[in-house]
Amino acid sequence: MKLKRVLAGALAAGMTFACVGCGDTNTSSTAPANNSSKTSAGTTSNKTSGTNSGATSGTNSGANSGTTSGGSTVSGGLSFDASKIKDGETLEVITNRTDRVSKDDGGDGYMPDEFVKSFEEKYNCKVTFRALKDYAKDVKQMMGSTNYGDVLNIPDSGLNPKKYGDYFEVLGTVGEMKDAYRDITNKAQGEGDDAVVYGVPSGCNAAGICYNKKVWADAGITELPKTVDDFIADLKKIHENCKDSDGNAVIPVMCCYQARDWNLKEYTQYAPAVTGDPDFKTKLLVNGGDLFVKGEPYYEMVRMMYKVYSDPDLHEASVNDTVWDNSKMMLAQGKCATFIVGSWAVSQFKAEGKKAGVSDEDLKNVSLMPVPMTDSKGNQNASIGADTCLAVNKNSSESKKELGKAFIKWWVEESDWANHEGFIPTLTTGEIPDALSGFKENNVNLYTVNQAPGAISTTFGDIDTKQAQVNIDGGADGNFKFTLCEKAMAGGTDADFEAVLKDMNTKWATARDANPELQAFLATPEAEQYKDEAFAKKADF
Amino acid sequence: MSAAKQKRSFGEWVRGYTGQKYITTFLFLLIPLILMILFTLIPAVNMVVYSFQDREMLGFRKWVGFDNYARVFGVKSATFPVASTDYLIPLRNSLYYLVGSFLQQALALFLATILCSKIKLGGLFKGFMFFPYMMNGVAVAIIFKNFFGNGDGYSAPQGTLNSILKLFSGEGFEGIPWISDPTNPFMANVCLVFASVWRYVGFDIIMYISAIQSITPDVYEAADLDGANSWQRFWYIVFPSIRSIVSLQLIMAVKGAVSVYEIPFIITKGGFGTSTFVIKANSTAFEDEMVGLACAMSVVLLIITVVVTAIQKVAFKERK
Repeated sequence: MKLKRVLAGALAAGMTFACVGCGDTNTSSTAPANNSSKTSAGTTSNKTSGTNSGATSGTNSGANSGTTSGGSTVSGGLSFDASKIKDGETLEVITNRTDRVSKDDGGDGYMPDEFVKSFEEKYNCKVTFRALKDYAKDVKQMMGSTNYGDVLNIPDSGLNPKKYGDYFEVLGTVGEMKDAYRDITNKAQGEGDDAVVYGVPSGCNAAGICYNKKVWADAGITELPKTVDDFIADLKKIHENCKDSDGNAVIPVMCCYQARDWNLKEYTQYAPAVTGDPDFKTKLLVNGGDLFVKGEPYYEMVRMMYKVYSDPDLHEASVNDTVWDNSKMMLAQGKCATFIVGSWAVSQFKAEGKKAGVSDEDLKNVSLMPVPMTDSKGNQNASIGADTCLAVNKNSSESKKELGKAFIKWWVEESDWANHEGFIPTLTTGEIPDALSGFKENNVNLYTVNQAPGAISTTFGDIDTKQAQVNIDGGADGNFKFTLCEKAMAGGTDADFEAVLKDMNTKWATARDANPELQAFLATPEAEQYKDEAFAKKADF
Repeated sequence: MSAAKQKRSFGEWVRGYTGQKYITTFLFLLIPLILMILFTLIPAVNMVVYSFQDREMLGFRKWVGFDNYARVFGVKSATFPVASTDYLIPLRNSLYYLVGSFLQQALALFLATILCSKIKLGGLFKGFMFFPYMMNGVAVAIIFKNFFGNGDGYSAPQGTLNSILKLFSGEGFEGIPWISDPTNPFMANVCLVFASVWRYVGFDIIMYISAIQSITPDVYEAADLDGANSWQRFWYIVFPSIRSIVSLQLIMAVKGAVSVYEIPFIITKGGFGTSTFVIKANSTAFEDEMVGLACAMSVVLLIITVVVTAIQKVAFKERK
């Protein structure tokens, strides 16, 4: 009897808590993990013809032959064996773009109805799209089985890069593709030119801040800011000088704190992307400096965030309640001046503005400014990085694998994707989109970030998310950025700000010094090339 | 007689009354048992196993022993060289819900007593009060998110409560950030507790009503003859009769308070000082992707519940 009771009690308790492990199926779907999935169904039709028809890759022999795109020839690139592709094959593509799949699935129908048509004709196949709303989480659950589509995006988090080979087909080597594609090392494993590539960028983004050109110009700002203090001063100018069409003061920065789980990441993700040093993160690890040092990128970007949230004039009044999806049209309408998000959002701001009735002329004001941060020489930099990386499922049939490779090659070399979505084309010969014109005017140096050396390829992440739990790019409950923002809104001082960062510095340093992989790497000669005194600075607060 | 008592073969046993009884019972139980083993027991056992691993969303990395548990309680270990008690802090917020649930019991008992007396439209009131409990927890949370909201009316809807207050206070009313005031986590938590009480009080009322109605009318009649007033009737007749239900409800309240999840998660996402232990476990697993650590947190929660259940068992025994 007793045993029964204990068992019953334990069972009841077990049933209550077994749901803890899988408790977020229907509640957190508003928090996309992947940048470009942050959309509500948008309709853009700024499709320009030309690039699609002009691109011919000869016959689809697929060997490393030249490919023409937009008139210029590319050597290298992805190769595949066309002879293995069966006629009438179907290809399942898993995507994060819920806004571009068929109308039945809640999208605008662009991908199945327009985008993929020429590929289907070329290879006499059928391509189906399946969109996952919370891509990074959902795809990992699918990847527990062998059935996760034929072509898919490699999730950006939570998958150890050393395990790519267990899930994805090798597409080629870095040496074969580096001349043809941008940021090809993003999802590669190995050293130098022999590293194997598992994913090809579907399009690239540049680190920058979305702003309304006209509003900034109306405020009397002639030169874009180059430091955080200038940026804050300019925002104040906008608050004082600008009125929108209804006569209300223009909101300098839309913050949408409700979407904090992803939109605060933007601030910290700028830091390694604007230094101009392709090995920023590796050097930070190797040289033993503090994470937050006055004047250095991480400190400055977090300070920018703190300043924006501190001053009620600089953000919307109902900052804790505004909804990201409902705010997107405000940038094109000129009701707000700035959104701290990267280039991936430009096309969404335009699409929402168009829906709200903004004229095509005014839509052009939605643009991207360089991050207000300079390197030691006073130059501004912006890294170009992959948006999502397309890969082929290792478990698909031979024929589908080759068709999948053909699809990826067609996607990055011939399709209209980058142009339609406002991405920087993956092809190195592709044109930089109009929204980035501010970068050319300000002589911003565009560069690509190097991957960390193989021995410590996951170390930065391990220290950050697990051992130190600073979660510098994280967005989970209790993150230090949330603490900072809430302190800022409650009238926190600079001392409060520095106290939080000091705590993070201590955690980071303790975890870094205890990390066995890093300590082993430091003893190797390879570590020498990353030695740099500039990254050994300690915080003085 | 003696022939009927002879030993029967297995086939006969199966076709007989006893055999059929056992087979029917077994078959009826089979499906729920399979479902329970598949969806409750196996995941629960896996959870315990995972809590001793360094584990990400996709797969196992290594065995770490009790390091995950050490991290939850703020003890340094090889896997987590930095440790603090930040995983236990959200448990403090459970106190709000605990206090709230005691008030909820008092309120439910009060309303149940009223509903058991002769009032007009009693059934209708019962229905209204029970209705929130039948609604999905997510729906309730969304209702209160809109109720307490403090939007500008443009990019976010203005909350119902603030709209009503605006009607009465006229010009210049800025709206009160009920659930989004970083300087005042107390108010945000109280609002969330209110939503929680609103949802669950109906269930408690029904429990109390059924307990009160099971008291035989003879006792009331005897009390009336002795000249007892309403308060005496409640304190000396009703309350002792439903004591076991009250204590059961209180234990359930403790369990509910440590595991509160969907209402704060949807309304504030755990921001503004309203995080709870389950929200923290959930974000550890799915945002920070430390599945092993999250499983350890769940096991800690499981242990708390088992302890509370054990106390409940002991307490019931003494009453008998």
